[in-house]
Amino acid sequence: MQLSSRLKLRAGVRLKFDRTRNANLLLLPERTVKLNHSAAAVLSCLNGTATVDDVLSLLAMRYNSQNLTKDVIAFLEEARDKGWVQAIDD
Amino acid sequence: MIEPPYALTCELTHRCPLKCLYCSNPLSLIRAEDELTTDEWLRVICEAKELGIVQVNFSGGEPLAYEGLPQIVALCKNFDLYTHLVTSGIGLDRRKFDTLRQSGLESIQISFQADDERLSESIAGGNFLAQKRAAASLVAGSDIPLTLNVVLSRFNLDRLEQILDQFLKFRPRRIELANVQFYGWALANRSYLLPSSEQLKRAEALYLARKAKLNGEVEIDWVISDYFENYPKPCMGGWASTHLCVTPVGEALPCLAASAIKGLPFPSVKSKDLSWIWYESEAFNRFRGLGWMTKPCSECELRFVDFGGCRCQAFLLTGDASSADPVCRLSPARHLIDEALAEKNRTAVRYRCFSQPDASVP
Repeated sequence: MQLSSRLKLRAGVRLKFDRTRNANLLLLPERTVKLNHSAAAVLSCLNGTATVDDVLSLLAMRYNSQNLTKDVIAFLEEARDKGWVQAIDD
Repeated sequence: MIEPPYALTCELTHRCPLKCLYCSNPLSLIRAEDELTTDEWLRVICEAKELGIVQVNFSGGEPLAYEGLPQIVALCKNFDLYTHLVTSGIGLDRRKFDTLRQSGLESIQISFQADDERLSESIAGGNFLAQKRAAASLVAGSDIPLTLNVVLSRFNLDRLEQILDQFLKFRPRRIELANVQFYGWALANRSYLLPSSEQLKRAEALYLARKAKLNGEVEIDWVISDYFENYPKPCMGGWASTHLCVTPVGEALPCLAASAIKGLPFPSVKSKDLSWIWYESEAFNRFRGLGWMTKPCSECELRFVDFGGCRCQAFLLTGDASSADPVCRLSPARHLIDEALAEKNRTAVRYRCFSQPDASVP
């Protein structure tokens, strides 16, 4: 995954904070995924303009940690492979 | 503790222009005059939101034949519920599509029977392929993600390659290759629909090759043909665990096939609210968890994986909904599946129809 890639949730995929379960959910056609806190934090940064690099900086600032890069990129690659996110220039 | 359900499937109507041999609807179809009204559906949606449901699926019959669909979709949108339409594509013209899109519909699945007219017609009991293609093009050209579905059986498994080529032209978000499951009309036509194991193996190999080639670009799913398996499918993730269905007449079910289970009093949304139905009703609690199980399931390590399989299939084939799913090699009734697989005499084929002539059916 390129640091300069701009990512967004794919069409038909959206994040929802669910008050009943007090949890972030990812909604897809005929499927719901209950997200943990970090997955929701990463996915909520994907607005189609931020690059992977921007997302990393934002999360590093928010969680005051420089060691997130490997985990975040691994998660974004997994999210792409699962069809949750796509690069905007795809 | 019982968790709230994630999804509601609204089976809006049993009316449908198609007469598919594999239809999973019950043999005694519900007539137009007995369907819930739009106001009743709107109340069900309100109760669903209160219950914690986040996804609403519309199915049928052909849900586009239900007049109030756009209104129901709009209320879901208002409540921030994810909406998904499962359609044959028949009736999805530009005007209908625009209305649904403006109402907030988020996702559409269109089913096909085959890649050519002759075969499609012999499966669906009518010539609908051109209309389906037009509907798929309409969705493909929009921002609504398209899922394309085909129910696979002896008739079309050998055409899988051509079916996939046709599907990819519509740039779908997802492809669902669903081997026929034997409920309703499909069970009545089982001897016609069951493939050979060679057919199934060839098709599955083709699916795996194409999936690897697509490399995640298009999501592609394979729904197994459970008769050919050694262990049952973990149906619905266990009875009444995540999903709630309502039939055209307002009967609430943990899964759409469950109406076949006789002797279990399924509650109606006309007289009970969804919360009571989910948490309190006898029907929804009957097979929850593992406590209802008898041998061999009650002593089997796999009970945590497959939850004893499908209750509806157990009932349909053995007459006892609390027995093991007969697909299981450990079930004393597995011979019923093996006999069906070995059956050479084919019964007369039955196209889906209402039991008596009905003026309301298109």
